[in-house]
Formats: sequence, C-alpha cells, structure tokens
Amino acid sequence: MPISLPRCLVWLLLVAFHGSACAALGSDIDSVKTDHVFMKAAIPIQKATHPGYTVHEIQSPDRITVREYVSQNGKVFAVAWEGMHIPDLQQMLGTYFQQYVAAAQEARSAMKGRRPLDLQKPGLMVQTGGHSQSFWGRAIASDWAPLGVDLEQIR
Amino acid sequence: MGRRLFGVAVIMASLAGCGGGGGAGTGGGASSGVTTPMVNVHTITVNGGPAPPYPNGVFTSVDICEPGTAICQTVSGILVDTGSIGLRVLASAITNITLAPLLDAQGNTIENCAAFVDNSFLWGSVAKADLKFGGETASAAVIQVVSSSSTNIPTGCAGSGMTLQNTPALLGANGILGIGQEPTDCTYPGLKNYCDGSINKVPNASYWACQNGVCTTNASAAVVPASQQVVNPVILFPTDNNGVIVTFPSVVGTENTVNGTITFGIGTQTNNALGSAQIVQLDSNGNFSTTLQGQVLAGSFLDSGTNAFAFPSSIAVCQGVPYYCPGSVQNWQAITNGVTVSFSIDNADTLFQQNQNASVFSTLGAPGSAGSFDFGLPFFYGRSVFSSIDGQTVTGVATSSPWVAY
Repeated sequence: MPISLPRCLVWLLLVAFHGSACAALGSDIDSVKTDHVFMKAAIPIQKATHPGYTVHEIQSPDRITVREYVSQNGKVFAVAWEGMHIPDLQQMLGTYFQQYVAAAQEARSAMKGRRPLDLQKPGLMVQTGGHSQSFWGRAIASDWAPLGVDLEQIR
Repeated sequence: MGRRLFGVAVIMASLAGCGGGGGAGTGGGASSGVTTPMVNVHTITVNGGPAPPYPNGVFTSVDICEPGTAICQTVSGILVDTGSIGLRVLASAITNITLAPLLDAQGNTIENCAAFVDNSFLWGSVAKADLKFGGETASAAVIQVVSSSSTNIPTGCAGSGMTLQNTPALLGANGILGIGQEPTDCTYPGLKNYCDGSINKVPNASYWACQNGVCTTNASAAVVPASQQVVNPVILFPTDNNGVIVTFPSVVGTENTVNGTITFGIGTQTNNALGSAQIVQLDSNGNFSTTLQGQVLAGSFLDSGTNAFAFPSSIAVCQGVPYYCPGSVQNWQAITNGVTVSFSIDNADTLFQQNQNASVFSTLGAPGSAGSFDFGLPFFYGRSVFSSIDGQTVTGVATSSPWVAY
C-alpha cells in the first residue's frame, strides 16, 4: 500500500506559517506558492486573469505543467496538469487526495482494463487522459467552484 | 501461467514461418488456399488474458532469452500496447532464465518507473534480453523487469497517488509490450530525449540509480543514456524496423476470442505495403485532432492498450462499472483528418451480463478526458492500423516524424 513519507508534515515544518501546507485543491491561494516550491520550478508562476477566477501556471524543470484555478475568494477550486509524467497528486489534491485514491481504486477494481479515469464523486471530479510521454488530467473541487464558470475551460 | 522453458526457441525461430499460429498475413500476398506465414507476422489474441475477465485486452507471447544465448523462456499473457514503449515483464513471470540488471558507472542498478493513464505504475530494474517475435529478433533489448516488491520506491515515482500493479491479478497480464511510436520510453516526437540530460538538466521522473535496487524514498531521478533506456524492440530488428501494423478481422457485437496479427515493418515486404491507407500526422505530443459532433478533440490518439472507445460525451455512465450505459445503441461518427470513423456504443452492463464468456466487445465505450478521443482496441477490429516509428523512414512517405494510417 502507499509507501509515503508524511510529506505534509515535513512541509508543514519547512513552510511553517500557513496551515494549508499540503497544498492546492480546496486550499487558499498561498498554497500555489507551496506547490511552486515543491515542484522546484525555476520559472516564476505565470498568472492569467479570467472573469471570476485567475489561473496560476507552474512549470517544473522536468516538464510537467500544472495550472491552479483560484476563485475571487482566494480558494484553489481546480488543478489541471499535463506533461511526460503525472505530477505528485498527493501534493496537488491536498485534502482531497484520500477521496481520489479510494475512487480510483473503486474504478479499477470494478472491471479490469486500462483506460482514462473519470471519477465523479460528491464535491470532487478527477479525469485523466493520454498515453506514455503525454499525460494530462484535471481535478475540480465543485464546492469551491465559482458560479457561472464553464468547467470545460479547465484544462 | 502458461510459461515453459523454451530451449528450442532459437531453432524454431530460425525456421521461416514459425510465427506461432500461422495467421494469414495482412493486406496482399495471401492468394487463395494455403498461405505462408511470413517471418514478420506475429499472432496476437483477445482472450481475457492470464487473469480474466479482461474485456478488450489483446495479448501475445514473447520469447525472452539471456543475451547472446539460447537460454530462453516464452512468456505468454503479455498485453500489446501501442500507447507505450518497450517490454515490461513481471519478475514473477521470469522463472527459467536469469537477466542481469544493468548498472551505471558507479555500479548502481538502474530502476525504471513507468506511469500509465489510469494512474497505475510499474517499478523495477532494467536488463538486457534478446527478444523473439516469431521470426524477428531484437538483440540486447533493454526491458523492464517489474519488481515483485513494493518497498524502496522513491516518492518521485510512487508518491503521486499511483497504484502499483506488480502481480498478474493487479495488472491483468504478465507484462506489457509497448510498440508505440518512439524508440525509447524517454523520447518525444522529433527524437527529443528527456532522460539523457540533453534537454532537461533535471531528468524526467522515469529512471533512478539505486544500490542493489534499494532506493531511498527521497532519491532524485537519474540521468540515463538512451542505450540504457527501455527500448521499442521493433527498432532493433535488422529489417522491418520502421513501424508496425496491427490487424484484426471485423467483429460484430461480441465474441469470446478473436485472433489478430502484428506485422512488423511498413513497406519493407510484400505483406506490409501502406496501400490506400490514409496517413494522419501526429503533433509534437504524439496526438492528432478529431471532430466529434462538433467538438474538436485535439489530443486524440490510437491505443491498443485502452480497452474501449474513450471520449467525452453526455452518454450515461453505468452504475456499477466505469463504462457507458446508453439506453439504446448509439451510432456515432468521428472525423480525423477528413477520414470518417463510424462506431457504435452499446450498454456495457447489458453487454457484460449477456456475454459472460466474451472477451471481445466491439461496442464498448467509456468516458474520456476533455479534449481527447482515445481510440482503444475496439477501433482496431476490422482494420489494419499502421503506425510509424519516430526517426525511421518509410518508402514513399516524406516525413520521418511519427504518423498513423488506417
């Protein structure tokens, strides 16, 4: 089963001052900076403003691009990614991570066969796609999504 | 399961036409009556694999030999995947031969982390082996030997919430044969290599160098030269090395099993001419654009390792299984580069309940990600699907960047 360091705890010590150290989805806007550090990104966060939300793009040196969607209330309501590998979803999904793991497990055990994930759970949607060398995906915390935002734009 | 010592593999492989099933070749060449299987044709079958049920899983056998020797083992139940690169075999399936792990200059074993679209992954050291597919041989091919252990995996590989599939029950197979469109599992279209230090100073999270296979959880990914990366065995064939053709007969509805072929090479023999197949050029990420009911799905691709037509739509998803369950059969058309692909989606719950011995489902659909049509194995039924390999030339085709044709 998962063999992971208590990374959130380690991170909490490193980035001692805010409570949202385990990043991203459902967290405050400050967590975008935490993810930027976690991904060892050399390029500054690229910001783009849209009606109702802002997009913060992080590029890792090993070519994974993560876009974090932040509402006007300062909440990260969606995370999208693309790259040659899959980013660390424990970091990106934060408190939604365990819900994601359970849903992914359920989808796989329902019937063997390899295909994209499409997980629709209360308050959480996760989709993956692609093939070797070209992966993408997105996670949306619907409870935090601003009204009127076209979720299809989240890529 | 189904593995046996295959001491006579070399002798068999050297005899023309021992392709293991005598499947008819693709396209022309086969006149009436007796067909002579050619050395570049390898049989594949959709049969549920070693841990059934597995709907729309296409499997094959590979003869794996200690390099430069006649010490070989046939491993069956290997999933055929045009969406990944290289052979990955469960260590537990390699019982009769010994493959030495490759070492870096410091004597560390080189470990490989391979991720898949469903956020599953395989972990294990790389080793060289001679691989035989019917009459074709890939000598000293770098493969991944998937570790039976689930410990000592760096979080850079395993920490992302991915699920390790290192048993036949979890994987549904004894291994995966990636015959996609790149020479190694680190290259991108244009032969850009993201693990050898030539592009990224920080290598991609694919390789780690560890003492005796024991990595620390906080280890960093390692720079690994192309010669030590998991390789597409097709490019190592002396000839017939510029691409593959995956062919299946037509399937109406469901079947218990169906046999198909991989034909190696494009335009290199009498049985692998491109003919009238339409070429679809891939973009820099290995994808092409598809239009489906007015939606442009720019990240589309063909993938024998996906077990359904996977695409975004408003069709109802089944309650119990992660597939589409429309109230009645849906007949759709997708357009790729001017070529129309007609397909049907039936109710997966009903299909599975009414066809409990079936492994072949031509109308199986599943929800896919936004902006992408993943043409899985059902697309291959009734077609010969050509795919070229990046950097290899095909007679009569101007470009050496990867393309598909059907």
